[in-house]
Amino acid sequence: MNKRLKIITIAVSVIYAVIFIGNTYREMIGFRQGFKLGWNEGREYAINEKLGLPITKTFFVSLKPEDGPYTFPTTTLNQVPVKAEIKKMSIQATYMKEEVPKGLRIAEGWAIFLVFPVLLYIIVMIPIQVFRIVHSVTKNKVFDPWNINRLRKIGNALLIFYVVCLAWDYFSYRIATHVVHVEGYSLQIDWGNITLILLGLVMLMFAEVLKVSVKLKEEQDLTV
Amino acid sequence: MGIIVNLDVMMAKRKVSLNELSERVGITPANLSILKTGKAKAIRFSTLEILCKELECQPSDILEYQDKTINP
Repeated sequence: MNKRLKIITIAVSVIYAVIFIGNTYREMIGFRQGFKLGWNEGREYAINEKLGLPITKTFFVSLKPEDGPYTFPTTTLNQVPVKAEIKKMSIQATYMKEEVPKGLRIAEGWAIFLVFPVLLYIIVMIPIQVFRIVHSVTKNKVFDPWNINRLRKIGNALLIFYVVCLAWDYFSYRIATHVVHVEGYSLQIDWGNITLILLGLVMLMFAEVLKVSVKLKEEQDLTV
Repeated sequence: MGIIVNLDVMMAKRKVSLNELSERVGITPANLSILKTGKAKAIRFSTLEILCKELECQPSDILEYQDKTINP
């Protein structure tokens, strides 16, 4: 096996394992807390909605200061006025459900309903595909036609991951524009991690490059 | 592909087996089998040359073109 390829494969495996284990551990702690909070909030939401009482919901929004001096913090330590954006802050808002158009409420419900199975599938699927690619490379089967499908699956998964997260953020943002007003700030949609699109497209590009390589290798093998 | 490999016909004419020919031309029986069964995607001039030399024939005796679109 090519020495350079071996070193890169080992490095990728180690870094991926560290990132995956670290993220999983961190997300599990956050997930437990978030799930408990969301569960209580959802129960209260359902009861109040049934009784026609105002409902309370937490929105994760980004804020951009409108024209004029920024108010928090007013200045830095050396008294220079500061104007900055706030990325992803949580705002708990209490409102009547009629304030939000019905279509938007249904769309957000579907987005939330779809987000979890899709994300769960992607979170489980990507490590499996990465492991399979690394395994085939270490077995000196770089030009395994299955690797094309594996790379395509990873690329598509990253793109779907981004689109699903964006859809959820978008509907949440649209609802927030109806019920949240922060003095001096305008709500902004969070475009998420655009690097995921780039990474997804690079994966798809590599899949196509590998497809051509596999074809060339096949021709090479069948040349007498 | 419209190219037909008639290596088996030439081998039968010269009464030579696959293993014997592979030893004489220095090509592995596996590769010669790929060529004989028509699975090969390409053939090197050097391979064609040595086969013609050993089988005492012309390239046209080994390779033949048939138009696939014409139905007999």
